[in-house]
Amino acid sequence: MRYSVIILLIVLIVILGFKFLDVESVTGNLVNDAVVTLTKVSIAGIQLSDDSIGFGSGYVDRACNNATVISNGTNSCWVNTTEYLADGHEIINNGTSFLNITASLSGFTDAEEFFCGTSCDYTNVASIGVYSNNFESNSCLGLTSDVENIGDYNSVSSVGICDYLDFVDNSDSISVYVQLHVPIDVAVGNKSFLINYEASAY
Amino acid sequence: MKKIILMGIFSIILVVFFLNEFTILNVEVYPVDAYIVENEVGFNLDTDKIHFGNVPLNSGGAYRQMSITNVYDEDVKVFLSDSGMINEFVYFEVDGENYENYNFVLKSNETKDYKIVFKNENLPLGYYDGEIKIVVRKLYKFN
Repeated sequence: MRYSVIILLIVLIVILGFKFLDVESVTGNLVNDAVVTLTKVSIAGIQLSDDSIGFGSGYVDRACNNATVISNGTNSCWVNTTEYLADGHEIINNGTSFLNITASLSGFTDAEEFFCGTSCDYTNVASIGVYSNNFESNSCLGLTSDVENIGDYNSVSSVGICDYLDFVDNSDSISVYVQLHVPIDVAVGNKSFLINYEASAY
Repeated sequence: MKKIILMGIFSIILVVFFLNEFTILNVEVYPVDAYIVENEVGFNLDTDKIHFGNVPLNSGGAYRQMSITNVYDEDVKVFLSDSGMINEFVYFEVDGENYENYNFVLKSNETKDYKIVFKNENLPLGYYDGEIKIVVRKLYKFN
């Protein structure tokens, strides 16, 4: 009887041992030694709110159907009720390899949704765009040629803002400015969105 | 009788020790770090660590996109976990779901994509570091 209890105890503990180890089953052959490889660790992303730029408050001039507001401080058909200052996102390469940088809109299916929530009469002109400059000279090969939309009235897309961002000190940073095309029937209220910057190494 | 009990306990310890030590095929530990800074986005894709880079204060966070491949002939079980100062701010994102720790069976030649995400909500400026641990264990199968 005692031996039976001991054997039962041993079996129980062995089973618990397997359970603890999360082994799927306890019979059969061991697999061959196996190794996994970790690959593709060369992509990184950082999300940045346009709050860090801040367009202040304002409205579309009633003489226009839409306004253009750019974070470099310029605008058209836009009436500021609070001033906004020129500001951009500074992106730096802190590593030792060339980087390809892209930007995309996060959290919305298109710019119309961002401005209006649903379809509005004039939101077919809604867009959110970005353009890039060298913050330090000779930092980037392959900046945006002009403003490129990360969101328009019915879609979002990923935009290349720098094809080759250098890593040499004093030549390794770019600025990204944001341009909004604000429809006149934009829904009133505080609005913010996230821009997802993604880097991949060469 | 006492001898038998002692032998039984010793056998159990041996079995558990064996299972614990010899089912592990591979352990890899990757240091990770992040700087929370005021107003810049900094990328560092060097391979000495998994760098989240310079993450702006109160931004939406940062991530590293990873994939893991079982290059051998048999299935294995993979355990992902994190530790260190960065621990409570890091999670694994797999197929749109978030996990503090994650384990999964990886079939032979299968590749699994996931993200390591660093959430810096309400974190003050500073340097944060820790480790990502990947443990690979043998998988037992019924014949």
